[in-house]
Amino acid sequence: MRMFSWRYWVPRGTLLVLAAVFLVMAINPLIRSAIVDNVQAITYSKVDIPRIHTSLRDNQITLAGMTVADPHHPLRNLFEADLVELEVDRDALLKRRVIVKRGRVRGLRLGTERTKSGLLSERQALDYQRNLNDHFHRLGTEWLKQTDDCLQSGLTNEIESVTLAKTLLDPLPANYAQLEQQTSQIQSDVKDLQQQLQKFGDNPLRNLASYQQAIDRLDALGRNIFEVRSHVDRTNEQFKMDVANIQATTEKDLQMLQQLQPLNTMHGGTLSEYLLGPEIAQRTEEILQWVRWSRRFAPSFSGRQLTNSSGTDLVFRGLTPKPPILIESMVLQGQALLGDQLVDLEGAIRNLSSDPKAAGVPTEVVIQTATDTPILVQAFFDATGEFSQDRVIVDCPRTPGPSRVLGDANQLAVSVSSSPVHLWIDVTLDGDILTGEMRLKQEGVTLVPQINPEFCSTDLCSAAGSSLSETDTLDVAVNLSGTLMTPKWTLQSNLGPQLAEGLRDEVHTQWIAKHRRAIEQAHQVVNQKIQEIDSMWTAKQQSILATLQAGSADVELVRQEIATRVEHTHGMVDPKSPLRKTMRR
Amino acid sequence: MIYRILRSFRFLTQALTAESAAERISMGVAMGILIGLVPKGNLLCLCFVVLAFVVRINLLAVLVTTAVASFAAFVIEPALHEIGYGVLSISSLQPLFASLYDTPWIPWTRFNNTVVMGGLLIGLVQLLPTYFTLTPWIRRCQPNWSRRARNSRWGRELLGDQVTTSWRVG
Repeated sequence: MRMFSWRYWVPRGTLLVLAAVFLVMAINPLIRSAIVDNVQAITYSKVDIPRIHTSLRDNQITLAGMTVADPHHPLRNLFEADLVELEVDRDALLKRRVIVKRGRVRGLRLGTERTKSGLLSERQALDYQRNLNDHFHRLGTEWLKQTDDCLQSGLTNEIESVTLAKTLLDPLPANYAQLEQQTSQIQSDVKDLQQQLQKFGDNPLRNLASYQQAIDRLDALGRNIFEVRSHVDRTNEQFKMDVANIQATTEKDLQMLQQLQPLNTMHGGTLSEYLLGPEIAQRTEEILQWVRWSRRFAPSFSGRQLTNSSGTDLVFRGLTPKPPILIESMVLQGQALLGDQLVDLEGAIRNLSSDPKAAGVPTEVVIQTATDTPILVQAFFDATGEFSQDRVIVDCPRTPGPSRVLGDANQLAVSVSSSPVHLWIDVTLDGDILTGEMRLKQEGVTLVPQINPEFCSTDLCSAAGSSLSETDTLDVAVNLSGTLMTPKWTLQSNLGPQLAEGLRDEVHTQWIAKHRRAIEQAHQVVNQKIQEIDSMWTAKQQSILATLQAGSADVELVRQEIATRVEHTHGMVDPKSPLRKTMRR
Repeated sequence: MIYRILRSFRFLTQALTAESAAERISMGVAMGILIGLVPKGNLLCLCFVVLAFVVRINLLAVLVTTAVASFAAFVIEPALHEIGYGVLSISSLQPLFASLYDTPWIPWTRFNNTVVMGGLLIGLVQLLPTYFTLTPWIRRCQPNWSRRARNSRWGRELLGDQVTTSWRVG
C-alpha cells in the first residue's frame, strides 16, 4: 500500500500552510486572550487590551492601552498603562517557559476612573466594613452618653452637710414636743394638787395621810421641774453643737468638691477609636487588600510536583525546577492620582514569578515618586519557603491631606483642616500571621470639635468648642495583629485623649460651678431650716421655761398652803426639817 | 447545510462500503484513538493531527474515532495517570527524560505529564494491533456493508443514487 501520495499531500499541505498563516495572523488575539484570561483569573476584574503586537523576530510583545479594573472599586482602574513592552527569552520559550528578560511599562497610571463597572460579577457590599462603622458609631454614642450623664448627674443627695442636717435636725421638733408634753403634764399635776388641797378641808389631822401624799407629790413635781429644766438646757446646748457641726461640714463639702474628679469615664482611647477608627480601618483594609491581592498573584506551589487539572507534571531527577513564567525585571513609569493631583512615579518589579519556590528568589516591588509629594513603596513577597513571608513598607512624608470630618457629624465630630500628612506603614506577614505598624502624623492642622446640640446637653456642646484650640498636630499610631483575613488593630492617638482632656477641663469647671451652686443652695436650705428650728426652739423654750417657772411658783404656793393649814411654819414642811421627820414617824 | 451534512455521512458510508481502502480506514481508526487518548493543547497532539493530515488515511475515521477516544480518555484518566506515572518514574530513564526535557521544543509536548505519557503509551501500543486487526475484518465486512447499504433507502440516498435519479433540470 502506498501511504504517501502527492495527490493527497499537495491539498493537505496547502491546508496546513493556510492554517499556519492563520495562526500567525491570530497570534495577537490568542496572546491577548491568554493574557486577559490569566490576569482576570488573578484580579477577578476586567482586563482590557485594545491593541497588541507580537514580534516573533524580536521576541517582543507590546501591549497598548492596557487597563486592569480595581476589584474593590468597580468604577476605578487598578492601573492603566499606555504601553507595556515585554522582551521574552526565546530559548526559554522553546522549553515551554515564559521568561521576560526585560519589561517596561510606560504611561502607568494608578487608580484612574472608568466609565463602566470593572467587576466581572456583582458582589455584595462588605458586611465587615458596615459592621465596623456600626461599632464606631456605637462607641461615640456610649461615650457621649456617659459624659453627658456624668455632667447631668445630681450631687445634692451626696452633700454631707445636708445628710448631717437631716440626721440632726429632723428629730428636734419631736424632742421639743416631748418637752412641751412633759411641761404640760407638770402644769396639770400642779393644778390637780391644788384642787385636792381644797378638798382636804381646814382640819389637817383628819387628812394627815393625804397631806403627807400631797407633800410627796410636791417633791416629785419639784424633781420633774428640775429634770425638764435640765433637759431644756441640754437640748439647748445640743442644738448649738449640732448647728456648729453642720456648719463645719458645710466647709468640708466645699473642700471635697475641689477634690472630685467627676469625668473619669471620658476615656481618650475610646474617643480616638470612635473618631479615627473608620479612617484607619479603611486604610488598613486597603493595604491588606493589596497584600491579599499580591498573594493571589504570587501563589505558593508545592515544590517539585506541579499539579494541573489533568495529570501531574513531574520534574525529573537532576533538573532544577524552574518557574513557567518569570519576569526578571520590569521597569515602571507612569502617574498616580494622589489626592486631587497626578504625580509622576517610577519603579521596578524584580523576580515576579508564577512559581516562587521554583524561582527561589523573592519578588521585590519598588515604586517611588520624585515630586513634591514623595512616596516610597517597597514590597517583598517571599513565597520560596514553606510559608509565605511578605513585607510591605510605605513611606509618604508629605502626602496631601484634604480637609475632612472625623466621626459622625450628627453626633460628635472633629473637622480637620487641610495639611500635609506623613504616612508610614510597615506590614509583615509570616504565613497568615499579621504584624505591623502604621503611623499617621499631620502637623499644622486645625482641629475643631463639634457636638450635635440635639444629642447632648448645652453644657457639653459648649465645652467641646474650645477643647482642641491648642492642638495643632494629629498623631496616630496603629498596631496591627491577627491574621490576614481577620486583622486586628489597636489605635493610639493624641486626638482622643486631648479632646477628652479638653472636654474634661471645660466640663470639670462647669461641673464644679454647677455643683457649687447646688451645694450653696443646699446650704441655704440647711441654714433656713436651722433658723426655723432655732426660732421654733426659742419660742418653745421660752414657753416651756415660763410654764416651768409658773409651775415652780404654784408648787411653792401649794407648799405654803399646806404649811399654813397644818399651822406649822414653812420650815416644818421643809423636806429638810427635823419636825417633818418626827411627823413621819 | 443539510447537503454538507449528508455528504459527510456519504463519505462514511462510502468508506465502509469499499469506496475507501480498508487499510486507510483501519489506520484512521488507530490514529484517531492515539489522538483521542493524548490530552489536547500540547505539541504532541498537534504533531499527530498534522501527521493525520499528511498521511493518506481516512480522515473521517480519524475524526469519529478521536471524538469517541477523547471521551474514553476522560473516563480512564486515572488509569492513564497511573501508567504515565509508572513510566516517568523509572529510575533508569530519568537521565533520558531529563535530557529530553532540556531540549528545545520537547517540553511543549508536555511528555512529563503523567496523563500525556499514559495516553501516548496506550495510543502507540494500540496503533499496530488495531491496524492489523481491523484491516482484514473491514475487508471481509465491506461487501456485506456495501450490499446492505445499496439495498436500503438511506444507504442509496447517502451513496447518491437517489440524488442522481431524482435530479431534474428545468
